[in-house]
Amino acid sequence: MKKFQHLAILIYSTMSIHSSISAEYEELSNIYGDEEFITIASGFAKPISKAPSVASVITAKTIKELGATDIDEILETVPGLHIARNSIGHQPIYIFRGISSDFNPQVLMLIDGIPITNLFHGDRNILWGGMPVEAISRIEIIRGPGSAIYGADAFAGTINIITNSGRHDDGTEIGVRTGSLDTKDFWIKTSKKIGDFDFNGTLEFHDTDGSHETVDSDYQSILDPLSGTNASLAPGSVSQERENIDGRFNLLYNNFNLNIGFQLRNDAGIATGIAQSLDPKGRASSKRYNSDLSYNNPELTENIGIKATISYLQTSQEVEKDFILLPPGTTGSPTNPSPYPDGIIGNPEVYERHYRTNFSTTFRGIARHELMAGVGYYFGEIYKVKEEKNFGIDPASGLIIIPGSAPVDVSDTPYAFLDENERENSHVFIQDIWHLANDWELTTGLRFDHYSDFGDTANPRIALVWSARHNLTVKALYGEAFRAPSFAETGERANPAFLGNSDLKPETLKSYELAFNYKPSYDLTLDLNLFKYYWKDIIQFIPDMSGTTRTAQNTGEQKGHGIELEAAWQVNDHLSILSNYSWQKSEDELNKAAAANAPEQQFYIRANTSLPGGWNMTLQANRVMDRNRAYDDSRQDIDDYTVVDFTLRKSFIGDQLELSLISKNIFNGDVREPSPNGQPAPAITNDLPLDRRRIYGEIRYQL
Amino acid sequence: MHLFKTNRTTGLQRVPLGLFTLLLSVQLLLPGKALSSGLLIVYPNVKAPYNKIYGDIIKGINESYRGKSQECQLPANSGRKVLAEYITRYKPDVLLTLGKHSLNEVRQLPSALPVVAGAITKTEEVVSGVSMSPDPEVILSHLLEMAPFVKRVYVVADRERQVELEGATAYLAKQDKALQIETAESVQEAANKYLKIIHQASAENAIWLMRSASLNDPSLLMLVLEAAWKKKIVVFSSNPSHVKRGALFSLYPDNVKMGRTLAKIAQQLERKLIPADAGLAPLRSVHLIVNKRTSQHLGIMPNKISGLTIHRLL
Repeated sequence: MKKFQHLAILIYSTMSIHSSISAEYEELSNIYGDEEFITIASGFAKPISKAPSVASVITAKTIKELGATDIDEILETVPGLHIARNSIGHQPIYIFRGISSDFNPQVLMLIDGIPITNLFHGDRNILWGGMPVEAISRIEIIRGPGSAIYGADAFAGTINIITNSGRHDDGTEIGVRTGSLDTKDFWIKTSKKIGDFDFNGTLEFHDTDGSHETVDSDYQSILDPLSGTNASLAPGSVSQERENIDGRFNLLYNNFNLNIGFQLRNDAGIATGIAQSLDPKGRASSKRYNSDLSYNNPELTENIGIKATISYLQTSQEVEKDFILLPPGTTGSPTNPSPYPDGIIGNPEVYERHYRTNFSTTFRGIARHELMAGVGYYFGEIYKVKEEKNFGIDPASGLIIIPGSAPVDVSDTPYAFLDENERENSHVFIQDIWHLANDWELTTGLRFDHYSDFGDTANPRIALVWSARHNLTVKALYGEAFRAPSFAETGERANPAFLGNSDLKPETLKSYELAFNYKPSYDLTLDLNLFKYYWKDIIQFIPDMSGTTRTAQNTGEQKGHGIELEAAWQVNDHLSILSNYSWQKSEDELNKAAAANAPEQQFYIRANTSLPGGWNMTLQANRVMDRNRAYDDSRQDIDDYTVVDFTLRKSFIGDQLELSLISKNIFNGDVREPSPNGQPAPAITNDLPLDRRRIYGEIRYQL
Repeated sequence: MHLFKTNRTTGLQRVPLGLFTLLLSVQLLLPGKALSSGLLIVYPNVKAPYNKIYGDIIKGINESYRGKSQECQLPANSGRKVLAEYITRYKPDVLLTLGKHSLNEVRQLPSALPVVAGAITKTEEVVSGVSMSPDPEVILSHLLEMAPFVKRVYVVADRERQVELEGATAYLAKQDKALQIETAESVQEAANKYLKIIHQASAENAIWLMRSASLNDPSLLMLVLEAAWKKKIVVFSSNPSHVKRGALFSLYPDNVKMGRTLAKIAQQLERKLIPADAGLAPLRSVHLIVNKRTSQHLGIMPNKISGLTIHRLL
């Protein structure tokens, strides 16, 4: 009985402490506004948008509620953005508003404002391998062109990832997560004040066996009947194991901000293979290091603010275990009678360095105007290209490498797949925000870029913003963008899969947008966006007549239009609902056919409930619909799919300990993204299978 | 420390009062370590982002307090025990509490140490400290800087709040402006009063949304903001989250500066320069948050507001 009395006293005292602490929260919320405002006021979240645009912002709080373990799970929730997969490593293809391509160089991804674009393919790295989320403070996603501010790669959309920084002293959190696909995650993050310095650091480990979903056929399946071989490994499972180590460190001292980061990708499987033939043994690695130092003083004088940045990025694409482009027993071509006993091996490695410096200033000295101007310089180089292969010409002898030979080093010879190369770019931009009248604001911007290899380009942007009512804002936007061809598109050669074309012209984009933001009640926000775009001189790797290679070409034009509708509703203190619907119709002008691969419709809904006692639940559903095949792809349209995820979190001991259950694709839906078309037929006929149901358990502990 | 004490006690009768004041001033300027056995800052363990508020206040305290200070973060359970251990171990001269929970825990202890209270809006017992609520005079001075054309300010408040408004009335009267207080005790009554105000008010008037959970119903707020937009009436609020919804501006504490003020009060208390029950001083160190869209609608260009630093522009 006494025991029960003690228990009752303990429970009572615990309850009274909790009610006292919740009274504390109430009092703080009363003074500082809601929790979201505390976040803003305390410097966690600094809006960085520099020009009116159609943008979405996702904060660390939402990322956690979603149970996201990779950035792509967050980005998929954004209207007008869908993430498809490529066949090499199932790397993401960020499709904004119907603009899709195999290597996806039309999207600019920035980390803390610095582009992470690689020169080789103009993407995030062909061995990108995902990005974990614990170091992310917020993500800003801008749909439509942003070239006038961000430069020539901000084409279909811009994704700016802001990592943890700022003046807070949260102590240290450690976390572990484990579950399906033998996935093991571990992270440690800390924020500390050290004298006048503020330090934030995050270290994340990710190890997974990856999906074992199977594909029915591959490129070798096409070759086998033609060559009289039986080499294809299809049906067989995709290879997606991976070990990732990510580090992000930030040091803040007065107006100086230093970021240092690395992304190491080891032992990475290459999904459906480099040449769309299953390769269960090939392993890739990629090392990426970045650092940037900035000085930011928005109030240097009463009317002038300045910001100066220098940055460095180093990336690599490396081969850990031979890439087997076509499996053992292949002849490589129906005309070749001799099989390759070890398969066709090609080990392309690329090493890049990127240097940037930027200076910008804001001027508020002219009545009704806010001016911003800046200059910048970029130097990037592919400073090392290495390749070993067991086919083609042996540069030492000038003779054909005989099937069965060991791989030969062809680096620094004309038989390597790519030349070392460099590019310089300098730019100047100016932007003016003019308060035309009380409820009218006109933003005009122009950026001029000079490229050492492609000449000049000027990209304007105009935005008219009208505060029509107390709760209605209307924006009309026009923007142009430019994308220089990547080095693979111009210079790739002696490659069994992809060939470059030095005569390529840059791609261009013109976009018109009309955006409405309406707040019909205190807790409901509605957004409606209408857009129309013209995309010209599209560079794509088009299958050659030989059937084995694809060559980069300015192959056509695409135009599209669509709408996005978003609703965010804070139902009460405990429940919030967010939903969006996107519709777009894009046309391949050259072939007079519906544009391929991008979903014409997307629907997303999420409900989050936060209950007393430290419970937090999120249920979300994402439906992807109406993805067309290319005009010359005879396959039936790919099936629509719906993915439902559920995340449950419970915190204990004053939020010091948190346990979570994260489940993805809970109904085990068959989710597929389009595989590339090919001639005479697509290699992987039944598309790229993505992960089925996954369940993870997670523990976080605040030291 | 010993030498100083000797000087003070033995020389007091012989030194003139001016010199004594000088000595006292020197004492205040001397490094604190020689003067004090310390300050114990007691604060609760709260989740992010709330912890940042306490973190900034503590930063300000440590910047300004010239002496040893220790921090005691109260764990969710057994806070009192931990606190008692800290007091035994560090033998502080003054306890500085942040938040209501910390003050309650300190009050439960048998200790007779002087207490300074921070991060709090009101206390049941009289205690020295700083209120977290911005001083109404400070809010109104910001209003007049931004919108000097305002001649009359309307406010709907319950009876409890009326005392706080006496100073505000006097302040506005000094500036040749008027504060019109409408009393309401329920949302319905408040709605009627706001409707009346909206009907009466013109572009030369302003509406002050005071902090009151019972009167600031969201639908009422939207009603006020809509009417105010149409008639170009300035609406400002004591609640910063209203700025996001369309109020022109609000204020919230500058936590670091609040911490510095708390440290000064602690040192004054240590030296018995102020009584232990001096009460909560009004908060004067604030940050300004402005809604850019609303300010432009009203013809107020945020970057042309002289003399005010905008901490956040939404």
